[in-house]
Amino acid sequence: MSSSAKLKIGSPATGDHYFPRAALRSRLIKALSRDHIAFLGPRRTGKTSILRDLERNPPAGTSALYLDLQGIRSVPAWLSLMLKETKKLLQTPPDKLAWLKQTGKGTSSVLKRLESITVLGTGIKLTPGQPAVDLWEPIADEFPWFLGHVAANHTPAEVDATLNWFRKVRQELADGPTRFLITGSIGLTGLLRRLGLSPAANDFDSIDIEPLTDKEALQFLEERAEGECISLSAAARRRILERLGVGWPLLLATFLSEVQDYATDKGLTIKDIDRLYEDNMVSGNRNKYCQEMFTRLTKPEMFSPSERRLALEILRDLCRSTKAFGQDDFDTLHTRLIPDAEHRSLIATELDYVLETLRHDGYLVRQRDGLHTFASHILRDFWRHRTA
Amino acid sequence: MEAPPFALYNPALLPPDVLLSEFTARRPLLARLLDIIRANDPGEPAQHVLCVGPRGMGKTTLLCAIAATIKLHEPELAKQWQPVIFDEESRRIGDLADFWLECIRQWESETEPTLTRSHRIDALLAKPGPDIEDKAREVFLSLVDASGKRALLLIDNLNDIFIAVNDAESLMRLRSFLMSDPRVMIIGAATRWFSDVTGLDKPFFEFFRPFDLHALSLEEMRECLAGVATARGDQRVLDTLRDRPGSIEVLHILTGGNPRLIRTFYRLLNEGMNGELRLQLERLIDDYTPYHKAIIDALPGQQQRVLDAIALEWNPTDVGTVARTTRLPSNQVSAQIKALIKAGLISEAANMGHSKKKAYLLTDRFSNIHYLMRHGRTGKLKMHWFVMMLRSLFGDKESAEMAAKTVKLTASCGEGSVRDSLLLAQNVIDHAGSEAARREFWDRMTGSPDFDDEIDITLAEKICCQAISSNPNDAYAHFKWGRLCAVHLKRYGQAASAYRKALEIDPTLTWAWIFLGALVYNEWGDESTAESANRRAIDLEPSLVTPWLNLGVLYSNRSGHKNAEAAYRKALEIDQESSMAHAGLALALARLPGNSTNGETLFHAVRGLLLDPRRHYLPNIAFRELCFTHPESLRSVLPEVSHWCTQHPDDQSVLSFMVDAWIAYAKVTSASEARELLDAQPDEVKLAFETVRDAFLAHDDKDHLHRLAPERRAPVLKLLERF
Repeated sequence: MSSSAKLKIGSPATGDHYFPRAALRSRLIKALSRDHIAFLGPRRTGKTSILRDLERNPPAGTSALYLDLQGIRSVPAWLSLMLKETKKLLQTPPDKLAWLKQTGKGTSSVLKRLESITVLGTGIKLTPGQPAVDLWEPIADEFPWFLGHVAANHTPAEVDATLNWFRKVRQELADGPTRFLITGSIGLTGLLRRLGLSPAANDFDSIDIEPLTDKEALQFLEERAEGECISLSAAARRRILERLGVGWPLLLATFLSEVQDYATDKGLTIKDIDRLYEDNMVSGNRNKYCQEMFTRLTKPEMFSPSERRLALEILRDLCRSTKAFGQDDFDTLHTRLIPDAEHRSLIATELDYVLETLRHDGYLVRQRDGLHTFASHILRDFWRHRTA
Repeated sequence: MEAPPFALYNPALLPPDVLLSEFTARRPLLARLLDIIRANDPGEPAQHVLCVGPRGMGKTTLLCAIAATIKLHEPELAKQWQPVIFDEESRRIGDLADFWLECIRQWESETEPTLTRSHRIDALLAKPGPDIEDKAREVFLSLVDASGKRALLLIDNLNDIFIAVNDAESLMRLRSFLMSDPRVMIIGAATRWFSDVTGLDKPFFEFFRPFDLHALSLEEMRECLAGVATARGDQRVLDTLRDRPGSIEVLHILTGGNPRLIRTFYRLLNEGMNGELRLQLERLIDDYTPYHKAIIDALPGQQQRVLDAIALEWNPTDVGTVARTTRLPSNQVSAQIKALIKAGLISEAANMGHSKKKAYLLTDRFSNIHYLMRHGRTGKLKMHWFVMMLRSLFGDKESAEMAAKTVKLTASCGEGSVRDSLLLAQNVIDHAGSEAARREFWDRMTGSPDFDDEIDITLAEKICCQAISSNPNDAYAHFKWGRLCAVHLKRYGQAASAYRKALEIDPTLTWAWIFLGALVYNEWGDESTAESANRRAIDLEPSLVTPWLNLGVLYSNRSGHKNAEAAYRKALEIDQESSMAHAGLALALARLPGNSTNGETLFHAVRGLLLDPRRHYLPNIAFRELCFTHPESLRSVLPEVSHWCTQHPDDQSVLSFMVDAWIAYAKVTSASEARELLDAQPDEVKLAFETVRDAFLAHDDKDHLHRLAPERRAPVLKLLERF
């Protein structure tokens, strides 16, 4: 096997450098065939790379439109972008849409219907024409972030109006072939809560991004080590995964980058891997990340005092636990902090909110079996040290 | 031809070929970065890179080297990429529009160097404010497209640009662009990790592929110096690297492997490194002062006070300690520390072991050393003892005798110069002002216990042969030739002949008898000749102690320790203060049949050492052998000799011996007891042995290592190895 896959750290991995995530892709496509989807996960977990892959290689008979909402400042700007990109797509249709021309259904008629999207002051009016394609998927990257900017530059009410309109549009399109896939590293629920808006506006089915499985992670390491000409034995690759405890591509790639800097002609021993983990991953640059993760929990805008206490307690207990935590564990912990059942029922959503925030912000990861662990051993080990 | 400038602070001033020829230590990183550039497929978003390292770590040089390599040595990359180096301080940038304008400005500067005014920028500045950002980006990208290349933006102090833009939305737009547009790649550099890339909520969180510009390792530092010396043809530096590994090791610790400081030090190596190491360090500091002073002077008063306290503390220190020293409230100290961290002058100690208390130290370690050397008596003293301890641990001997050095230097200038150097040497031998000066020169050129390590044996042989040939009746020349043969050339037969010849010419040359005795005894076991030679020396100079001492050694091995005891007692009769005699007597007594190490034995071992700590042969051996396992003896010597060390600050050998003695005491008692004894000594002793004290502390509490300044940790680890 010969691999040309190179390490990509930070920028989206595309082309030969993208590690195909077949299982997650099928899950997304299957979910999209049913409904609109929110694809969520912490920052730097590879969401954009997956979206770029979907955009370039959409399922047969469909077309995907990728909209990067980073830096978009207003709802009209978003809609204008969507309109512009849709026009572009239909004017130069990919092979899959060649039938548009062949059947004489000129793009102009499709565009004419799309041009009826209008924005009127604080209200939004849309006359959605059904695009004459089998299925098209506008993918809105960093959607919650965009809404946050709208709120900051305009008003939360505008966000509310936007979301309500967007929900209405999605409902109207529910039976058609159009699907929206929104992504973001900020949870929509958390955002709405912070803006004082009703959670009803968020009716997306959500899919969380998952780390690579162990098998995938080992393959990821093997291919990239080969592509970068890094001599790394199977045992060393396994050790990297063991030490990280989780197969996030960014962490795997960063560890490989450290290995590359350290690499000797003889190849690395398990002891070398352990040393690199301790010295470079935990105590090196990543240490600043862990410190940042530790201190940001104290920011008042993140949690109320009661939520913060719960979040800290969860993290403190979990970092010392040898097993992953399930709902029962969290409930027990919550009860320990707030023994009074009546009081607990008054803040019934507190635990869910805290867990969701910790997941979206990259503290915890939910496994397939629903159990929660630390997002990485790096963070877990740091937490153990800081809360000792 | 005049050597190119060093360009310590402006590597861009160096011609690209010179810069690359001297760019040695970071070549592997350069190769890695070029690989990353190469791996960016056309049409795919680029891998962006951030290199982080404190001031002087070679960031700017690295960026210049990338551009120079692409231009001069990578034609394929040069076809695809146009390197664009931003000015080190891009003060023109205040927002994202400015960033794109700067891209145009720097692109034009690279591709149209004769342009004095940019009509493109003039036209853009005439547009309405809100439009400039998009338009400037379009203009820049059109320039890139027209070139048929991609833009490689090499941006120093990238953190300053992010801070100047200071708008999350703008940075999001920039991030969005960089994540999708394959035409631009950024390789940035920064003096520290900054919140825009470490903050989870910031747009550029973990966006760049990171590279830490570590301090150079000892080996890398040697390579760096050797690379520059080879490129510049500086043989003197290459000689120093070869001949004085200890000094280089010490300087690695002191400079912390900072490339800029190493290059500063290069000048010192090249101009001569002959004197006291401490003085050389002061010279280095003089070079460094303007740079350092400018940074400190620019700070507000309260920050200067906080920085002063942290610098004088040297090891990582906490807010409480700084607050006590400065008498400032803790919250103000914390605020100032925060500001100093932001300015990159102070860092949080990365690892304080199990301690959760945050501790701080000066980021640039040489700045700290600079500070200690320049500010406050305690600081200077601390540094003095630290340097002494380093020399004691890493070892190095220096010569200061100018005539001998001149002869040697002349000889080293090539085959033709040897004749000149021999003429010069003969001239000194023939015309020395006094017999003492002549013998001093002989010693320095051909060896003596003090100078054996420094002689050039080949040259010494030539000098002896020439002197004997020039004056065959020079008894001292024969004697020194004999000694050279015995000690250095291992030609014992020739040595014995030379001594005999010297004695034939001058039978009163007492030291020739003494050396002949030692030679025949040591090499051939000829006790009879050895004994008679020493007896002859005693006859010639009855007041000499050495022949008695030699007899003591001889009898110790031959006729039992009773005779040895008598010889040493005779030596003591002549000189009650002979440390060698006390030490020899102690060993003889200890070895008498049925005798154990008793009070008299220990008394002489201790006395031998106390009388003259400088005599580090027999007294040290005796003390080591008899007293290093004996706490009381150690305790009776440690305070006095340690104090002696403080009065003789340049005696490296005794300091080194005392370090061993302290460690021996810790071994036979405990590290904590040894520390208690050390703590009970006067301040000057504590100061001199501070590194030893740190080792005692670290022995019992490994966390103490983390509490030490990085450069102080290395010698402590070295000491711990001896436990």
